[in-house]
Amino acid sequence: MKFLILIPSYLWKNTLKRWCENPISPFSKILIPVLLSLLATLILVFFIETEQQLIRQLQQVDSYSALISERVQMQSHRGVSVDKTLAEEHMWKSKYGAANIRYIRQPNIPVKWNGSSNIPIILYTASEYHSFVKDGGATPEILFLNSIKLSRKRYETIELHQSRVSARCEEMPEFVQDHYKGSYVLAVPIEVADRFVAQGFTMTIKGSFDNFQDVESFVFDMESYYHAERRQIRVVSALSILEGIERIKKIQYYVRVGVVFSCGVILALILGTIAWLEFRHESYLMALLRSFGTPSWILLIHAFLENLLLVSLGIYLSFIAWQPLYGVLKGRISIVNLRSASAIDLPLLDTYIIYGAGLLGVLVAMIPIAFGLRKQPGLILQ
Amino acid sequence: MKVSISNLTYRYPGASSYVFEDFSFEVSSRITLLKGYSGCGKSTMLRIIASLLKPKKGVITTSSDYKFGSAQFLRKEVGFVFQQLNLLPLASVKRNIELAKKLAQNTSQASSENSDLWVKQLGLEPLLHKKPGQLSGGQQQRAAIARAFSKDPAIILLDEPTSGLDDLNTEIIKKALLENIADGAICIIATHDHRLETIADEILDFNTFLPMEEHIEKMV
Repeated sequence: MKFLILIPSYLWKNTLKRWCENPISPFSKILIPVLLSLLATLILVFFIETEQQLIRQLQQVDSYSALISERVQMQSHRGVSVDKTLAEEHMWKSKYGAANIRYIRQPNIPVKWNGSSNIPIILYTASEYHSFVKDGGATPEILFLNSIKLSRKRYETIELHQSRVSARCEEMPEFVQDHYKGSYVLAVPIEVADRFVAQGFTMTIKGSFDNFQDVESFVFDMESYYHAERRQIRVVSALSILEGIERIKKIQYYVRVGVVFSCGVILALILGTIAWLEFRHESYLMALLRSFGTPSWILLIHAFLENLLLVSLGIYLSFIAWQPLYGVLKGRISIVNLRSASAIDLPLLDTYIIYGAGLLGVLVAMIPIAFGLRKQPGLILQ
Repeated sequence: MKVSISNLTYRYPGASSYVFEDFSFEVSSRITLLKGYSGCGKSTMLRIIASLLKPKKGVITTSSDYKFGSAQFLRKEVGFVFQQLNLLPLASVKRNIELAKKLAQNTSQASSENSDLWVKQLGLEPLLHKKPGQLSGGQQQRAAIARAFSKDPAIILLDEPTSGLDDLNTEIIKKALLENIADGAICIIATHDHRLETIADEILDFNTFLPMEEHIEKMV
């Protein structure tokens, strides 16, 4: 089996001599994969960046959330009570996480203060008290939440459903400001709210997530539950838009694979042409070695390894070069408004796809050589 | 060693006429000469025997243990001296000879002595470390012969081994062939050099298959 060492060692010696005599050939076999890999990498990174920008924009406008609202009429509402909604709240928070679910219960009673009427009123649970009052006492009390910075801890008299109550002024928390655009909201502890909910209340459940799948699951669960409960709800979400985005992501995957595959095919065609021209130049040596009894597969494997080495080097160089190049390009492509490349890593799968395309290109380039090696050595040697 | 050719038919790809049609013969003599005019098929016959060309029809059998045409048959049993010599250009004379020996897996002491004998007989000792590009035509010819013989093949094929050589180089080669071909091995020489007829045990004249007038007609 010494010929497995002798012949390849002579072939590599011949290859190095050929590279030294004609450096354009190995240089082009490195440069072409560099350019194609850079193109493929930049396209893949562009897709990743646009997708991430879209997700960030959606998160900024709170698109990964859903609002479920229900008008509860106490007298006739199939046994729904505040306690039942509290049990449901506990159930949903257990499933989706307390931080992702927010309940707002708004009794249908008028609230007046200082000439303003129709001030919203919400009920809050004991566990939510400290989200309204940072340094409050142990006992929850009626709070007058405001966004105009009335003096904290000052008490205001509020007219609430034919009675007057004293409410402590507190700053309106952000989650209340998100829901109510006005300057004032009255917050009443749920323990003392029985008389306020006699006229019914509007319950709003807000589910906030960071991905499409959780939003979809939440909306589906809500619709199924309330349908089973035979309760009417209204669902407001950007689910249809998010579904469209998911479809685009799927198409984008095939486009990405297609782009990389096309680069592999182009590489195969160019490499194949160069390899075939080199083979014709070397066909005499190949025939001579075959006349010594060298199997054709050794010669084919050598050609494959030679091209694979150069192509792999080219792809590796492109992986080193793409980030600095991306950094140079991003400031100049104002149309697409790309962000910093340093925040992006090319996914491992995409790396494998690019290497795979390179390998495919080299394999296909060996086809003309394999056909050439079928020619009888006696037709070449004189 | 014996080589038998039965009903050989061969035509080059794209050629209109056959080089051989239903041709049969047998070689068992120590040195056989194939003589004939240029283009009569001498070199083609050698290449077919070396399995470097595949005939369209016909059977070629040898008394070798290896299957005719296999890579092992080529590595171990056949030594070929091409008309264009075909030494590996990047390897020295010594390396060219060693490569052929190692490919044939001939590493025994006897094989080594045989190889040294050929090198000495052909006057190649001072040239062992030179590359083919540094040798004269006659020196390259002798190096190619040494490479073919040093692996101890059972079938030695020489295609115009003395083409263009002076009488001195030709005599060196003739003497080496006469004295050193191993017992049992056969040597087939394709040539139109009359100087080699004196060492042949058998001469196969291709002209007898194709008279000169018909040959000229064919060439024209």
